[in-house]
Amino acid sequence: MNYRQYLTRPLLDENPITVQVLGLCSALAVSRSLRPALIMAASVFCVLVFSNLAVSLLRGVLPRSIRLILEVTIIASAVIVVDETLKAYAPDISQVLSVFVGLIITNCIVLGRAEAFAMRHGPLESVADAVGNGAAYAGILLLVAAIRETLGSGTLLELPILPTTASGGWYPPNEMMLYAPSAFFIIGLLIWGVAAWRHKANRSPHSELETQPAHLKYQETAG
Amino acid sequence: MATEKIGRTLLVAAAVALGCSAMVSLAIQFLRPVQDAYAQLGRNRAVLAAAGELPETVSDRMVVSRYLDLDVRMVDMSSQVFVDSSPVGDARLYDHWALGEGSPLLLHVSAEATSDQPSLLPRYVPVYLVWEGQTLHRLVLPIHGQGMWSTIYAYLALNGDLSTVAAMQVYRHGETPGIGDRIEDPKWLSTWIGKRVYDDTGRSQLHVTRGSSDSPYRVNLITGASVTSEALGNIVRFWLGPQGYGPLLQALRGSTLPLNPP
Ligand SMILES: Cc1cc2nc3c(=O)[nH]c(=O)nc-3n(C[C@H](O)[C@H](O)[C@H](O)COP(=O)(O)O)c2cc1C
Repeated sequence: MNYRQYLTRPLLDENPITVQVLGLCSALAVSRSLRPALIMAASVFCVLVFSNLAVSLLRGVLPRSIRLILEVTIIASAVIVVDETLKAYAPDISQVLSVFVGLIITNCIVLGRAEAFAMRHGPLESVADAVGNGAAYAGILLLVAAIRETLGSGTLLELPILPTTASGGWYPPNEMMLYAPSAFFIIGLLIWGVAAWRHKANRSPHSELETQPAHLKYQETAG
Repeated sequence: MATEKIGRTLLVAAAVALGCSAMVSLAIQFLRPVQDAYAQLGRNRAVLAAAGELPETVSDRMVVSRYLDLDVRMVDMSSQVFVDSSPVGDARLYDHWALGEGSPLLLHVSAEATSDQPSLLPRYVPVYLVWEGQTLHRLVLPIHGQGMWSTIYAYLALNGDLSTVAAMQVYRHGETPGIGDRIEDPKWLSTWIGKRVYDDTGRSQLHVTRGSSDSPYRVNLITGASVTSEALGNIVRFWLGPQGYGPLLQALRGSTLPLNPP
């Protein structure tokens, strides 16, 4: 594989959310509106790139017996730095995200990429992999948040998109979109859509070379 | 061989821990001033909101300049009078909530009041006066005390009569998100407006209780967050009582203490 594949494969074929079904918890919790989701996506992206790079650089010296603890230490430190940065430069959004920034530590995508990829690849490849996976997570999170904010509040980034009945327009906001379960439905539909699309693509003659679906490899880390 | 391996494992663990903690401490060291500036801004905003001087949309710069325009007086909690000069410097910048434990600026009060109230009070407390011409329009009093899990910090604004609530503004707390943090709900806080804080004998009598909001001395508690909302009532009662601002307000109401616009 070359770098371009590391970057692009996570976006659809090995998307951490829709294909590997990882990192769902935060995707459900912070996708109510687009602005906090943007900050959350950027936070996960930064933590992912940092942890993949650090773990890859240290992969030669990390003792196997305690490597998981050390990986979590590195991830946790990166998360604290990101959390403190948000508290300094985006205090309002930091309050909206509250504990969910801290919970990036338990986001399976981060530890999953460190363990499954960065431990076995060089720093450049690991950064490319982190960028790809970070962008994939961001893409899904922002898509879900955009759908929820548009349908739930009639706005996008707090700018009115659909004129709501409350402000004299025609659109009655769908209140269910403001609650976490709606993210389940949207992500469920996305997973279904991607699976159907892959199923169709896999039957086309071009992809017969692909023997084992990539997502089966790391599925046991889901959570 | 095995011991060497354990030695190396410990060494790598220590090195990673050291490196990570250095990174975290450096970042926090660097970010603290920015965080403090935002905290100061948030405090200014809360004071202005309680004072009724915060428009809907206002820039950060406007908040600071409006805050600095307020008439601030320093109260000496040991004698409960306004003091012109205090050892803590500019009253507008002084944060009496930032005093560390064991600070000489903390005052012991007799623990005669209910035990969950502070037994250590800041000696000097800044209060904010809003004037309308020559008459006092609002008096903003900082209050704090124990909630369910955390200390709640708030600003209570009284009307010019110094016995009815003009506004209640919760500034900071560590109650449970989604439960205790409903004390920040503007709708609930607006139910405080107009409540009387003293009964006819001058006792501090405002309570937060279940289902009796018709009374002028009662605010309805928040169902599901009863502990936190009742605590806010206890805090108000304590601070308007004999160990809080009670004697000061009594002197001001009875005009035994002169009060003039700046
Ligand atoms: C994890 C957890 C956190 C809670 N946090 C708060 C809180 O911050 N403030 C509060 O008043 N009640 C909190 N409660 C609820 C109280 O324990 C109690 O059930 C509630 O105040 C009772 O309200 P009620 O008398 O209106 O039913 C919490 C409960 C749980 C299980």
